[in-house]
Amino acid sequence: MVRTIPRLIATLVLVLPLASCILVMSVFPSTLSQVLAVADLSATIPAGSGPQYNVSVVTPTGGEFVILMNRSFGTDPAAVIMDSNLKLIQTYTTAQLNGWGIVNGQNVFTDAARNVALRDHWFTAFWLSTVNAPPSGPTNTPLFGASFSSPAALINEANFQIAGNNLTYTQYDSSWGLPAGRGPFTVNVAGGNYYLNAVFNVDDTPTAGEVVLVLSDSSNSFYFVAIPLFNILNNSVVPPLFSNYPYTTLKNIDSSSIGFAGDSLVAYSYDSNSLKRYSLTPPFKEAGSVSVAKNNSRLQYAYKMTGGYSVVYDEDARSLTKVANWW
Amino acid sequence: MLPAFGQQRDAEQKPQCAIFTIQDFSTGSANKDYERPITASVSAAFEVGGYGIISPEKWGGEVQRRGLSPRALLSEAPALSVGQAVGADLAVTGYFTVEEDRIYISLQCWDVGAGVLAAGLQQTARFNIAFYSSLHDRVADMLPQIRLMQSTAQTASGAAPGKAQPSVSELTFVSPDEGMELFLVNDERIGAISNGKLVWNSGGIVLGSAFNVEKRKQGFHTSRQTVRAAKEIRLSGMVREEKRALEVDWTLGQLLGAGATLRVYTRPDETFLFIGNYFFLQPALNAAGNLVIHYDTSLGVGAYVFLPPDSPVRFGVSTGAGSVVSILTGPSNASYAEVYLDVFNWWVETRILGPIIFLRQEWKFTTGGGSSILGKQWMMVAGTIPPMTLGVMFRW
Repeated sequence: MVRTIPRLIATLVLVLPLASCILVMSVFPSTLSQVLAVADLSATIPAGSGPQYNVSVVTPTGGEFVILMNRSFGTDPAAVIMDSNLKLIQTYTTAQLNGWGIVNGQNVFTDAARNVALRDHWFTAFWLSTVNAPPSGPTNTPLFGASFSSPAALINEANFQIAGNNLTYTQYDSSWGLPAGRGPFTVNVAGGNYYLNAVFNVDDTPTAGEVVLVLSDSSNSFYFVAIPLFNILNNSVVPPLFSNYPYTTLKNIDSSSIGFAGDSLVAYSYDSNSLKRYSLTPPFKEAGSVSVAKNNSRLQYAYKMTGGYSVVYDEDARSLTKVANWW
Repeated sequence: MLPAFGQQRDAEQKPQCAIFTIQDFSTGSANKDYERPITASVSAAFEVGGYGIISPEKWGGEVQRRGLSPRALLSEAPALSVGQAVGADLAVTGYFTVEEDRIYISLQCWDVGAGVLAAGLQQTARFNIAFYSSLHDRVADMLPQIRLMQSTAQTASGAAPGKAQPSVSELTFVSPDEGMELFLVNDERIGAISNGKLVWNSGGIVLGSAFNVEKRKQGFHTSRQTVRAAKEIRLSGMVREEKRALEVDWTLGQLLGAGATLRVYTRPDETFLFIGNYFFLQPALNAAGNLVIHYDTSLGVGAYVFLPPDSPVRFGVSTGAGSVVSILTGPSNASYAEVYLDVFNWWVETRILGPIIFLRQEWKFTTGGGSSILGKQWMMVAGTIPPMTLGVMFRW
């Protein structure tokens, strides 16, 4: 009897999670139950042009927005601005942006002053949510590449790019002044051609924080590289990156699904048809996963970087789905 | 009259049978090699049916001693004479012809003691690997027709007389199916069950020997049963011809729910139309999520394959189409409709445990479209496993 009870408990500990796992298995994505809002943008975005748009979640002071930016210059709408419940606030036309002097760039992010940097200007939350309100100021650079801000250091790090094997970026202060080019920093001593998919400021502590660079190469390998924020801010990155900073290689993941969700990194794995969470620090251990349907649509994932939810943009259906984080 | 068919455990009491080579009468000699396997198949059927088989060496020596040609053995007199000389109660002769992919076979079973033809068989069939088993079955079905006179073969050949074989003349069939008619496989009517039993005066059958009977009753599936000769023979119950059935289903991937499917048979217990409903829930993964309600409806056609309705295990296939409506109860108020083709389902069912329990594998392909979640793809549980349904079926 004395031995039976521990055995029974051990059996239950093993069996119950398995049983509950089997009970919730589904042909539908597990995240379907996490859907918080759905927006059909087929009337807003012309048919066939869905893949031209990039989705982002920005969190300026006093607001929270989901923005679809058109990467194709000259076609409308140039940008679609929604609130965090996917309610359409306004769309910007190319002519409208040009009239405000917004003529270049294609990216958007929350800058160090907690405003929204959009293409080559920045908006406060108030002006972004006000229909037909012009931007508050210029960024002094068109935003093309991956960027991040450090509100703690009052620094904007913009346009991370890799040309072949060399990383470069440009640093600005929080008012988009004092531009300073950084790099080039060699990625791999052995050479190669790399592409920079994303850069995330996962710990905004200027002296001890960390930035994660997501690189990929032509073999469809993805690399999470952890670089101290201090090195980025102070132009002290030590090349080559692969020799001097810890990194982890991931295979067969969807580049459009990689994101920073506040407490973890997330990516869709084609191997397991699941979304996987990874810890923020090397070796970026897998922290959990959720099975979703096979991803045969062109989907983009954007995560609220302070946590809570993600937004999934279906390029084919031209629809947005707001999904609560599953963990 | 001493019937001698059937299986008898005591080898000394088995009726002895000389099976002469079943000869190839086809044009040319291309099919001569088939004489041995065909003869072996016939021998096996007699052996299983309870006969002792006299070795070819034994009767072959007698044929050689008499200088008989193989074809001479097809005639009654030489067959009986050789059979008697080797102590056979029964002598089996026969031939076959093969033309293209078809075979014609003729067998004669001679009662050596009475010197008469006891039974015969003619069969035309497609000549392939399945022929041998069908020949075996046809011969087995023929065995109950054979009635042998008291064998004189052993005494005639100088051997000691055989022991008397225990037999039973009056057989009582017991069945719960009142009014059921019983036939031998040669369509000879035995009688009908009345007050739960049927008494058949067979004229004598070797006790314990096996033979087939066919059971017929209006509204029930005709079926065959192999029984062993005894004073009382209990027959298994017949299976009623059902025209409706209700499945209660539980499907992997939809386990937080249940379904019901109505079948309407176009041929009782064989082919059917179905309409199915399945209601299931998808729970939230955490407090931020919300319940999702799914409702699956389907319709299609299905059929049983391979085995008859009274088989303890049966297989079936079905196909059709359906749709799953998904309602999100959260703030999104969204709903979706997933239309799918039920491309191919197959199942196995059994009545061994009492009620009919089945397990079905389903291959469904979604058609995509504006209100689809899955797009165009095979519906797979957790992305890898086709849905499997476990269910219980009630028929009426």
